[in-house]
Amino acid sequence: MSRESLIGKSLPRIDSVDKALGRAKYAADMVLPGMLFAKVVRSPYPHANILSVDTTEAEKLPGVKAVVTGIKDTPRGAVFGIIPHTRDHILLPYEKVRYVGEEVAAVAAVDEDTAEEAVDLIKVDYEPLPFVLTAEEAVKEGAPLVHEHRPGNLAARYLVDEGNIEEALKNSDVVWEKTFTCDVASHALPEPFTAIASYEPSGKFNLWMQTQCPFQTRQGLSNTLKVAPSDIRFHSLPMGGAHGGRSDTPPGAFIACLLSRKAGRPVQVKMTREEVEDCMRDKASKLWTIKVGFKRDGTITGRDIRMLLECGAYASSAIVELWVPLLIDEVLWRAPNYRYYADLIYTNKTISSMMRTRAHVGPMSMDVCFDQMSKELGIDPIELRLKNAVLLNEVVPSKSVVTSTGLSESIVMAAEKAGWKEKKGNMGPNRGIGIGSGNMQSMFYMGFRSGSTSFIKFNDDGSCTVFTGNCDLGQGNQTMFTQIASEEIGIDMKDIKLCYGDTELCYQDPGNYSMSATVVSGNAVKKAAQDAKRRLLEMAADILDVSWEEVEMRGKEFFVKRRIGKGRGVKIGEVCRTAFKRGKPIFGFGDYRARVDYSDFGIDIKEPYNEKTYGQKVTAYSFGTTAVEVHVDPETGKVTVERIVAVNDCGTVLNPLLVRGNMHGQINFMLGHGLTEKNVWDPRTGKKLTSTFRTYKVPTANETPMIEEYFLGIPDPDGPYGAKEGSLGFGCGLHGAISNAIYDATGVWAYEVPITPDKMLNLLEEKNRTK
Amino acid sequence: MTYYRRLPPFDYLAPKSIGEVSFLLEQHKDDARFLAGGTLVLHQMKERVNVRSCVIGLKGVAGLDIITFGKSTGVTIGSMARLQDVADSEEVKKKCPLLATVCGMLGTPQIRNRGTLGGNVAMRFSTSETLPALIALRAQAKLMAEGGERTVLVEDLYKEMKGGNLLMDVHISALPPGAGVGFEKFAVRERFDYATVAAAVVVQMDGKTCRDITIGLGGVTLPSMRPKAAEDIMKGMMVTREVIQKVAETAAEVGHTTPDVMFSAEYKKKVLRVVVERAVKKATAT
Amino acid sequence: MKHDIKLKVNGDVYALQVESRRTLLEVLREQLGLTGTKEMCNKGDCGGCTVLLDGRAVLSCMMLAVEADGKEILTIEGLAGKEYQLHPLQKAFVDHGAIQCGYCTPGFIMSAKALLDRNMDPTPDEIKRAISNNICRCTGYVQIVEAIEAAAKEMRGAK
Repeated sequence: MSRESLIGKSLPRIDSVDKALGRAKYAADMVLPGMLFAKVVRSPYPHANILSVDTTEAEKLPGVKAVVTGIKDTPRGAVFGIIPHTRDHILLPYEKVRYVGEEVAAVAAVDEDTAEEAVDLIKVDYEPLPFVLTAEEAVKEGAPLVHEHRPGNLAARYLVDEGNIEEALKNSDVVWEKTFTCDVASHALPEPFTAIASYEPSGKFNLWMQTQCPFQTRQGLSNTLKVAPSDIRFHSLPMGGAHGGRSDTPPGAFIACLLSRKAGRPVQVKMTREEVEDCMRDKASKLWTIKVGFKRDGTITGRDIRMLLECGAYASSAIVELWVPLLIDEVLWRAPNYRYYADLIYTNKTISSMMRTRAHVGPMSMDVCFDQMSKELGIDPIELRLKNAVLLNEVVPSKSVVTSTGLSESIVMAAEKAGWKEKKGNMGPNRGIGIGSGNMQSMFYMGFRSGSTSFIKFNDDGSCTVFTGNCDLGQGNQTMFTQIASEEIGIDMKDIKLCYGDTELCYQDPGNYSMSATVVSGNAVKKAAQDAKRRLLEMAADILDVSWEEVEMRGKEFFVKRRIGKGRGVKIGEVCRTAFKRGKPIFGFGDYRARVDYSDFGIDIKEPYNEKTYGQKVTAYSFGTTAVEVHVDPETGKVTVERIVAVNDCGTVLNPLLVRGNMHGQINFMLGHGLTEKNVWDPRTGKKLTSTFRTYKVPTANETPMIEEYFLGIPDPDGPYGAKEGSLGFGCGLHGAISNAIYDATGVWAYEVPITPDKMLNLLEEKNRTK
Repeated sequence: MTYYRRLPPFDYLAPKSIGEVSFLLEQHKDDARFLAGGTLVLHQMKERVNVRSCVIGLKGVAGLDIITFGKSTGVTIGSMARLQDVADSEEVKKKCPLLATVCGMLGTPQIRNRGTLGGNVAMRFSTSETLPALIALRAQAKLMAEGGERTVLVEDLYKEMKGGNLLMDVHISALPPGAGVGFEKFAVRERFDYATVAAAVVVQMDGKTCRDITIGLGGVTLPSMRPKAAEDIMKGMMVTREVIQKVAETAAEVGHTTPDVMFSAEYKKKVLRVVVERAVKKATAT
Repeated sequence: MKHDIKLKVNGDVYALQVESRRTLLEVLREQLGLTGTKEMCNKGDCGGCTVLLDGRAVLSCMMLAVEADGKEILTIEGLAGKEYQLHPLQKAFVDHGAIQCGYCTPGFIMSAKALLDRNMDPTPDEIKRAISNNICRCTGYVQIVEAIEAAAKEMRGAK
């Protein structure tokens, strides 16, 4: 096909115009006819038994149309959890509450004023229980148990034990050991959580809500409402950011469904900013202790990692954080002997889930390790990294194979473009430069949802509609799918409509989970488009009385290559109408099954990786390196990142304009989580104290450094046109880069995240004391 | 526990004159609170803090938003003057640049467009940039209280201003020619957050000697916002690096910091010393 | 307590009856159906509810509707010309990839409009100052600043 290719073109997002006009209707904007407004009664205690809930006064209030409580309305035995082992979340509880803000009852009324009044009339009798707020406290002997059936507050454990790490460390020339910590960080999403449920007399629920993965969220609702998945329809709509914070089945959706069914009217559950921060999702805190053995020549002999991960009151999708750090670490740096021991711990806090900056402590620890070891071993830090970087086609501890990698190239390029060699040690007082590398997966194993199916129907005018089960959180999936379909079919993007994320109309899809949109959903669309193209060519060939290989398409016309100037062509509209007449309407069907091993993922509290669980864990890995220049104010401890050079190994860049922007978003998140975003809980009440944009310091435009982006463009064999995950992997090394830059600037090592000004000042003062 | 989105019910009253304000206060007493720019009142009432059944909107009260200048008397800024208007006023920029600067840097454009100087001062948050600056300028505030009007120093507002008092205007006397000013703020997000700590300094120099100095501290308890002990160190002294350091150390000693969600009192004390030192350096460099 | 007020919004005059406690944001979104102005934090921290009030950027969630009586209000819906002809700011945001999830976009565009109406040749620092109140989680702000610069350039050229 040699019409001008769209691959690699910077095209604006197809949904941007509506958003710029203010026309886009998000869930938070929608009002359905007859819709009721809900308000939720929430626990003021971090841990308590629910003794009784009295709703009589609330029910009498004029304008109140339905009231639900866990005690009366939650189906018994209906528990949510993304894997069976950690199914621990009763979405509207009837026995116990486990974090401040947990749902206990809810009211639906004709307007929000009435709902707020009604909710204050509901009387709940609690029996407060002792509570625990940190993972370190939770694992101690005698700590209060968040879930009685989980001794030691251990939700789950992940263990990998390859080779013989004890021997390897014993026989190493140097063993480096450090502990890194990162605090709980928040998504701080723009659009307030909104779930609108509308129950039909037939028994079907309609949902309009923000979710990264409609099919997953639907499954959770199906399990907890005890209703067939196909009786729950998620409608498609634009969403105000997710970044990992909308990947579960949240109580708000469950409550909206219960209320709608009871009231026989649509019900909106909308949360305030503070409510979202307290009661939706966070990103787990981590304690990461790592030992790395080295030979004198710089080769790593093995790594021994122990991670304590805190998930809050319920395991939710934080369970995935147990193995993702492993998936990241094992493909960055070689380790012939490898032990990874990770515990997921319950605490009485906001539930944790996915986060786009997940697992950064892992890459951070290795980047600090390399810089520190380079001194001790007398080996250049870049050389040390290149020596241990996992190479193409290497097999890693899980027995995954890395099928595309630009890690080494990204390290060299980032250092070169940033002038790292010249600047290191030379930037003047209080200024420094550092580098850090990261990685992210495209598609890890997700059971039968490890693949996507796309369908395309052609209309009689030659336009088409592409159906995909994936949705768009703002990254630009809609544009990507349309771009891919246009590339394969050969018609303009404006002639391609997209139907996405509707669970009734579309085939199931993993959603924006495990960064699968490009490799999995994109490939499915590509295959469907190729299929449609073939059918178009065949029908045109039929009309033109040749074989399909002889037909060429340009613009909207099909013609015979060898008859140019001599024979007739046929327009796409006529091809489609003829197809209808002949009983063979044009469509395209494409299914893409991710290249992952369909084995048990290995969440088993007893056994490490073995024959049952070895296999390709991830279809494609994205890599990248950032070089960061910092300024540290020696008197206040404030760390300012002034410049970032980012080298992205994301395969082919389908749309540079979009990927660039997504990269900036990742940098923004990493900077926030790395330097200024800190969550604080009141140790006496268990209430989170940092639930607003004012108290939780997300970066503004004034905190943005200069950013230069580079793309390696090394195609991935699995990704569509060689593309893979584009905006997370490269940035996961940013915290290591910052730590290394801080050392270059001040001679002080920071092993924790966020490195807030007070922490930095303490480190500087400690250094001056020990001088 | 409930997370509220809506404001609670209340009656909005819109008096047109000071007399009408006075009358409404008598009528409603503790059931009423004032609404100036709205950035504090609405925030608090949405969180069900300081809820009253009656809100007295001041925007229509004649004469409250006027900025007037006297050649020798200085500048008087009505309490309802918007912060951005104070910052943009050519006369304020000329006659009282410290105030113009501070009003122009406080918060964000949206906050400055609605927030008023009077409302900001009456809030009595030492983390707001205006208070330290007005203290350093030895500004006076005119209050309408029971029994009539009275004038107090802004630095005494915390003890002199009672509930139900209306702040009517702020007056800054003309600074003698050659006065030096300096302002330094520390915040995690400089153009968004209130000051964690701040310092405003006004000096009058005789060559290299300091004739007079006033310091206003931000981010400390209200009674400790004017560190006279620190001022005394520099009065009449030749200004050297050591003197400035001593001033800063003393200010940090007498300025009482308290912990907030992000920072401990000890950390804030350390940074307080830093901002005072930097502000004094700026003021004495002119 | 109820008040009869007149709001001029995007050139249209609306005669409304509002309770004392209704914010301008609530009235715009719920009584006038203009949902382009977003509710994000509802406490004045995020800038998502920014509208122009007599030409100045204000937070509509922190303003009582009754206090907007008689004022001229411009929301995101009032920027484009007939048949959705995009204002240079809207066009620049689209073309420069400055819109990802788009939820914060109306607030940014209105803040930028307030800036460019006063200063059509802002430096990047002046742009960042003008959007200090606007929080974005998706874009990292870079393409937003680039878009505002481009819009300013086009508006200068058109003059």
